[in-house]
Amino acid sequence: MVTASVKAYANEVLIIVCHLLWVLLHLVYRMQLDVGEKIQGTWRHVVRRLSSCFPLYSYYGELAQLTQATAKLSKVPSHIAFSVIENLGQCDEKKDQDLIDFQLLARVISWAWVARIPVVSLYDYNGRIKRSYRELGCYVQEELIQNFWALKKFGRANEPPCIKFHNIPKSNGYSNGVGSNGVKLSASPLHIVVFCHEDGKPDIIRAAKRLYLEQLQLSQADSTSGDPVQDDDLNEELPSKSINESKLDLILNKNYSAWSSSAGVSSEPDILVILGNIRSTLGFLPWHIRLTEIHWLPKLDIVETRDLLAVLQKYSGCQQRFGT
Amino acid sequence: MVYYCLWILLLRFYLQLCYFKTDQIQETMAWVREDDRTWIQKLCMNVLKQGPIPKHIGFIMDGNRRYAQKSAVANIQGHVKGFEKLTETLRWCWDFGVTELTVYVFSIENFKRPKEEVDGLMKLAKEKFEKLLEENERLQEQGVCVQIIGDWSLVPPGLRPLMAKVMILTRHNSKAKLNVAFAYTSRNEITRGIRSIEKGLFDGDISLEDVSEDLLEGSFRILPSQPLDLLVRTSGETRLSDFLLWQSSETVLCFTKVLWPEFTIWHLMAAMFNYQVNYMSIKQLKLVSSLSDIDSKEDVRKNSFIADHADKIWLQLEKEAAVLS
Repeated sequence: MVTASVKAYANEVLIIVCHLLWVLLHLVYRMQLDVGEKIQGTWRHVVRRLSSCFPLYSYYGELAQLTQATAKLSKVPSHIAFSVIENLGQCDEKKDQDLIDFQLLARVISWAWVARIPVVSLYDYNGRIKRSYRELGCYVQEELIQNFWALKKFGRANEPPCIKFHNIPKSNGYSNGVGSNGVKLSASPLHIVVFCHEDGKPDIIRAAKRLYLEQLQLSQADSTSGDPVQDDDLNEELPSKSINESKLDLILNKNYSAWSSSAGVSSEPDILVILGNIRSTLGFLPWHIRLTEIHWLPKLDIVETRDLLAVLQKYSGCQQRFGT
Repeated sequence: MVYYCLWILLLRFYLQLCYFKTDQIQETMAWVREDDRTWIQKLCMNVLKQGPIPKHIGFIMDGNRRYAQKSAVANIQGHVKGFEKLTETLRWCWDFGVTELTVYVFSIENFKRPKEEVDGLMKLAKEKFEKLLEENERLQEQGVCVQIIGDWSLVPPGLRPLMAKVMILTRHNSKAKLNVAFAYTSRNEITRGIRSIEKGLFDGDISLEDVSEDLLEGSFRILPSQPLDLLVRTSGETRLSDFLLWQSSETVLCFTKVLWPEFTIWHLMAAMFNYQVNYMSIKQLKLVSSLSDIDSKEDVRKNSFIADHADKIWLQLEKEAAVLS
């Protein structure tokens, strides 16, 4: 009787101890993470300020390094995706720009051009980028022109690159080539595709519905033409008649069909870079990331060119086996 | 100095305690294993259990062949080792309170591998499914339900009756669930789901407005599945490789460098810790669920469609299994 109560008591104590240990564990981890992030941020800021005195280590020096290093890589991705996690704590302000710093984002996008990546996908869950893509476009164009002049001696291009947005809301009276006043469309524009959560699972459902309607029309057409000889012909082609993976893929890639074949890029990003410290894709187009390499980089305000370079180097060193 | 020595002694003692049991070679190749944790592992587990624990974990068991090459044995030996690790991991997860596991055993893309390896893997799978049938009593005792998900039309005909039998025998167990992804890719799963809904549409069981995310997700499985909470991939690759793309789109991902046969309970605990940290961050983001208010009438129709669809598949499975007996 006594031993039983002692045991129960000991058990209770053990649970409390476990709970305290758990709290301690998470507290220490969080603190280490936060303090680490702060220190890293400050350190990078200080180093950037100091090194800007030396031309080789200034921002443009870094860009030059990035373009030179990527030229040496055996494999450069043709399509990179950035997933942005919005800042917390300022949620009462509804302006998209307060939650995502577009200037910093534009800078990261311009690095993709520096690294010779022709297609950039942008994603944020709530579609803030998609809504305010015009503002972002201005920033990106500005950054690109700056980068163009900085890298002119490397002979990257004869004229500043132009940007083309895809998958944007149509109602805005959209015209392609943001900021292209006076600037002619260059031969190799930087394609930017903007996505939000709505382009993920909901788009798959929309595609499915479209396929159902197509199937319905097909079956109605079949029933009206009651020629048995024709029916046999149809049966031979049955696999292409029913819904299959490639058909679905085609519909889901409608954003790409117009221009990707000429640019020779895949609709599936080669690399997905998540800018922030949350280990989740947060709804990024599930259909498109089956073979995408997923990487996490620091937040927008402290990410640097060398972080991106490290990801690209990892990618070029990685051997893809495609299941074999 | 004395303190230093004492510390080292203590540390050695501690390490011995940690690894004493895991060093012993386990001859058992059973699916259901005994609890073989050391007290320190139990303590750490209990600490972690104080926080949120994922209900459903997905595993991409990568690195069997690299392990085989590293230890200079045949590729198939690596896969055998990988299976052993799987059974160990099942036990650990159940001890943690995880009630559902989905493991990526064989991808449709894997059929492209050299013929000997594919044949070897199929043989191994057959052996293991037979073993599973032998262990049926223990499975019932533990209440484990085994589901084999994937495109059955691609599975060799010799294997299908076995798989069907396993599924039928464990159908009503509800304590724990193991989904084995065999001849599986997520795109294939989504396409099959869409096709099964198409059939329902043409038969008039559901209408076009009913087609939604939860209906599609419901049509993936013939037994209801819990939402995926954590996806673990071993061997350092950071791709999803067409595994649970739909289900994992808002879950915590955990990529570890260790090769699958070398996966230990400590790696699992690290993954759990990772989950707890990220679970809280994702909660903070307050992602708006796209699910709108569901009309109850629609809901009933959807559910009955999903149930009918499942029943049809069960009937098919019973036909398949009838070949065996």
